[in-house]
Amino acid sequence: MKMERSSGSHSLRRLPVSIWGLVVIVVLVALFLPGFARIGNLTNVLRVGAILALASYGQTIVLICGGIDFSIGSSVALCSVVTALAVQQLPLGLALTVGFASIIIVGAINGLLIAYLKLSPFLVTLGMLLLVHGFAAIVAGGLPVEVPDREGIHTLSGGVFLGIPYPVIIAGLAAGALHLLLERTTLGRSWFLIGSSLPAAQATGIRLRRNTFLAYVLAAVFVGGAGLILTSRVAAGEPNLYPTLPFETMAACAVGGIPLTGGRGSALNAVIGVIVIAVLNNAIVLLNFPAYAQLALLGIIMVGAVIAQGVPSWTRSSRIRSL
Amino acid sequence: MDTIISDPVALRTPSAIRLRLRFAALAQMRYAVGIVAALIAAAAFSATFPDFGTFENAANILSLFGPLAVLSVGQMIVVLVRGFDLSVGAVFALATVITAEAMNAAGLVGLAAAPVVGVAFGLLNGVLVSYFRVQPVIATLGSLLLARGAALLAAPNGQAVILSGDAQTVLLNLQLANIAGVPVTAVFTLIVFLVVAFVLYATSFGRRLFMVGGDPRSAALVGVRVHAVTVVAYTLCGFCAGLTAILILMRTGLGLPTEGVGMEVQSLAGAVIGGSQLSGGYANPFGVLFAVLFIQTTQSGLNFSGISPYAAEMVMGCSILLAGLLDRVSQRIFRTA
Amino acid sequence: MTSASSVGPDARLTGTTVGPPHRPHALTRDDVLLEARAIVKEYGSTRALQGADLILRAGRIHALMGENGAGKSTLVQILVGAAAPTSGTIALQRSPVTFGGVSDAIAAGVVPIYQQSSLFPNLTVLENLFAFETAASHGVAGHQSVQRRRLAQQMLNRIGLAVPLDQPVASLSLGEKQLLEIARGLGRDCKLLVLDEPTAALSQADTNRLFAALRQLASAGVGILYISHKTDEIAQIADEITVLRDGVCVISGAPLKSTSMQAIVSAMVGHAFNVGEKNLPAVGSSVLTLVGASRRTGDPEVSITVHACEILGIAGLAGSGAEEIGAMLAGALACPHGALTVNGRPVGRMGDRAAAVAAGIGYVPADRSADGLFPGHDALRNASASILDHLTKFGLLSRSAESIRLTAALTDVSLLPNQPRRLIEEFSGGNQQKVLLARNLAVVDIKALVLVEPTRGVDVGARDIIHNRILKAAAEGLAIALISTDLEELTSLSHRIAIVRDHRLTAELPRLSSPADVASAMLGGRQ
Repeated sequence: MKMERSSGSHSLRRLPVSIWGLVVIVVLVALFLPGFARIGNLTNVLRVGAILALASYGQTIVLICGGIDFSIGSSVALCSVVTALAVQQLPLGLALTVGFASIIIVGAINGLLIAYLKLSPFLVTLGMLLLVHGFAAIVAGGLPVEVPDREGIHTLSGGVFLGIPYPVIIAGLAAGALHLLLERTTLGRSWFLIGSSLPAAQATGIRLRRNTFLAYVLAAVFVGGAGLILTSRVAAGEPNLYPTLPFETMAACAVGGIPLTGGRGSALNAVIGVIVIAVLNNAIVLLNFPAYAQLALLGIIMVGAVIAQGVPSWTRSSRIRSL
Repeated sequence: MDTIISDPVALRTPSAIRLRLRFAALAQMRYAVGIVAALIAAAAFSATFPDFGTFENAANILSLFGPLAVLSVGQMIVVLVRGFDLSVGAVFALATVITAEAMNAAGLVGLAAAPVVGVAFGLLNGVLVSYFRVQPVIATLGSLLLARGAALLAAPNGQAVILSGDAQTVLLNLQLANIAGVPVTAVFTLIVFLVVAFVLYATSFGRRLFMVGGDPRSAALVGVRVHAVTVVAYTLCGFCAGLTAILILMRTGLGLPTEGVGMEVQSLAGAVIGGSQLSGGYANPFGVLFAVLFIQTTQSGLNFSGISPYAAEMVMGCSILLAGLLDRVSQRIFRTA
Repeated sequence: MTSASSVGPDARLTGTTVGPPHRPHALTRDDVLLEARAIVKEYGSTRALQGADLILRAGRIHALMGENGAGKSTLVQILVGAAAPTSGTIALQRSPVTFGGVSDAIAAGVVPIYQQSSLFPNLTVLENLFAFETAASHGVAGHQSVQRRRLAQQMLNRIGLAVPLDQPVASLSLGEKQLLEIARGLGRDCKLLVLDEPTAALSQADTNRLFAALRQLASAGVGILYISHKTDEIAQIADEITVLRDGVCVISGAPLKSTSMQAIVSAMVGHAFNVGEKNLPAVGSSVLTLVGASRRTGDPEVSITVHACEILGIAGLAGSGAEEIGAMLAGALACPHGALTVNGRPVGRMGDRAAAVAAGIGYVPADRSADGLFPGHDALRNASASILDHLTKFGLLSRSAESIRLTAALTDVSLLPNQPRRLIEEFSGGNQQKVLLARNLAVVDIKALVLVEPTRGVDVGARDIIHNRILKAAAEGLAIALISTDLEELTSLSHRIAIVRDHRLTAELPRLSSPADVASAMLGGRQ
């Protein structure tokens, strides 16, 4: 069936639809909540959003190549526990490296099982969610592990450079790196192709196993950044650190306009999704809603955002194309 | 009769056909894994701990496995139609709070609130997933947040609602009652499974669930109302979450808004270990029943052993991975056969 | 309520076990069965149909032809209730009808048999045969009843398909699935049967079985709408023909006897079209060699050589293993035994397509939408997929290099419309196939090309362009293996034709063998 694409301005057309949603939300919130547009508040919004952003970059990679990752909540928890235990014997920098490595190892196990044994990403990462969380809890002895040098470890999440918090700088640089990775490398391109059609990617001669494995490992690198900043913020080894993280990253990606069906997405989509969620969370706090209402509202807004921007594309894909 | 048949195509290689059939039957037998795992776990723990293999402990396991089992069988229905429901834990928490308040106000009649809450959220999920084409992750995650927020709002100061009065006594007595040594809650759970099995295997609606899960496009082409079937599947799952709330109320006598965190993942584990495939089209309630028995037996056994209770979580994680591996192996055999 | 409605479909079906399976519905031959007038269908700004008319009569086999995008599929969807017309009327036996969905059409006696599989892999043969009943029934299902089993067996017998009723459909071969699909449609108690490209995956013998069944249905008074690309099939089976072009009927219900094939083809493409001999280039030295390959231990081992400038045709019935041999030649099938060499140099492990591409073997797989295309991406990205590593500058992917190189490649295969930035799913089947061809011709240092069914489901114009491009590639020195069930394509393009039967190479026919010779070699003297 022939289909005319709406021909608008080339550069405008390339922007994700979700960016208009972001603009509308930011304008509305800024107009009606005087406290929002203050520099201090904006910095805070970004600081809070940075952790979700880094984790969402990882989720973005995995979603693009047709997978999904439920295990990142458990792996940041593992990172905090491992770091907290390691810091008792090792210098801080080395302890953080060990914590980071633990997330990479989880990513590599995911990648091995998914790419080389061809297990379903949903199952593997769900299994790893439980497995890694159980492991972290056993290692920690079921209780949070105290970090002796709280000041030092706080630097990563609390430090400021030119008025910008470190986490925001890291998330910003990571967004650039992710963009480069997705748009300007053959590895990134191959993820799009793998996510779009696995058999076609194979027939084309793309190195499926290696590239899928690398997707999970590189996703873990971004998640590792989130894990380190989180660890630095709580300054403890916490087995129940952020269990809803995988769900929130999926929400961020979906709100930003990345379909969970694979083959599409960009760093910009992820950034937009994260900022929308961070701004809305902030607005709910500024409005003095009861803390419980935040959850309910977030749920409604997330689903609403996805419905709102999905409408044009459904009408196209839902039709039975040819009999 | 109009037999044009002279040279049946498939009779060319009868042995190959039979071989394929056998492997196909093997793939259908995946649900047996839960049964085997449950038996092995029970045997292993009984051999290690003399107190484990007693009738009392078995009754104890049976009295505990109800909520997860009912939740898992609901989850299995949505997994059958290529979905999943992350909201079940939060929904049954909300249902316990509302039901506890309703029972404190109106007595035993208030019990009806639990399935109503479950069905409402199931309906919402189903409509979002089918008619609005929202991915199940997003739709049910939204419901999770909504239900959890609502539960905390509904409970005064976010605290537990304590059941009181006659209703509480009735529920407690039911919880403690048993039929020939089998706890009433276990009998209740078993009835739920029998009903689900009946719906799945003996009604045309059940067949349509398998059709939608097997290939939604084909289902639409032969005239199945795919959206409606999907909505009913999610609604049934919500209903099961409501029933779970009743079981929890019986056990705890509390409407606890923070109940059920992580239960969505455990119920998925139950469905998957019990032979459901996330790609849809395969499900077996009895496989799920035994998968949950396996999970409960492992937890109970690890309690006996004094190992950290978190080890049970690791066992569950490994079981999911093994279930996936097994599906993969049977698929491979399938393809080459 | 439950019992009454669950008896409904069963009663209707069991009735057929006693009497003849297809009652004539008190219809006499040539009565107007279905009349569609001035059907218009718009998708957004696109008009897929602009006033199409179709009159179908009882007992007649009516052919519907047209290039891809001519509006055939849209018209069929409207007739079977899968889509609603923007305007226009449909009358069934002279009374106007509006189908709200496929189930309405089926209830009214209009039964579709789909081109793409609409079977359920997780269900058994029996359950699939009664999918329509299950979709429409309520209450307790009677799918295991003895009567249903007997009826199901009869449905399979009609088409000569012998598979166990309790076998899951996932384990059937492609041809068996297609036959099952047809058996399911033929088993309906219907007035009008709509078949969309039913023979795409069928061997000649199976096609003959289907045709015999169709003729029998027609003589019982059933109207049949038969959609196909294959002119020889139409000549064999149809009574009347309608040809669509750009959403209008250019031939409307003409008797086939008084219409020449030339007229039909030119009506479809809008200009005269020549089917004739092609000039083939002279054959060079051996390039692509497959030695002792077998899919599984114990299977027959296959050895085959393709030379430079040579087009080697490979022919076999569905399920004969011809497609697998194609996949082996392309290095796309993991085999326990066997070796693949290009110009004498071994090509990595069998099944490692990445190594095969590096060695210069192009591959267009049989199932274009499942194994070839990347939906959601434009034609350019689809075409560049095999040579990404050669489009880098300083380690980064160069968009300009990609655009320059592949726009040229797409123009070379006459992509229509020539918009490399258009999404691949928005192109017609023929142009999607051109993109796949361009992807492989762009492979750096390409030496061999394996094409499996390169023109399956492709319209006549694109088919011609693809054939000419294949010839040009051979003249440029490529070794080409052409695996096809289109015998006319095989005989006109190939230097020699290898025949595959039961995963074995059984014969080799020379250039200019007739399609009939190839067909009888494929059947192996069974006919």
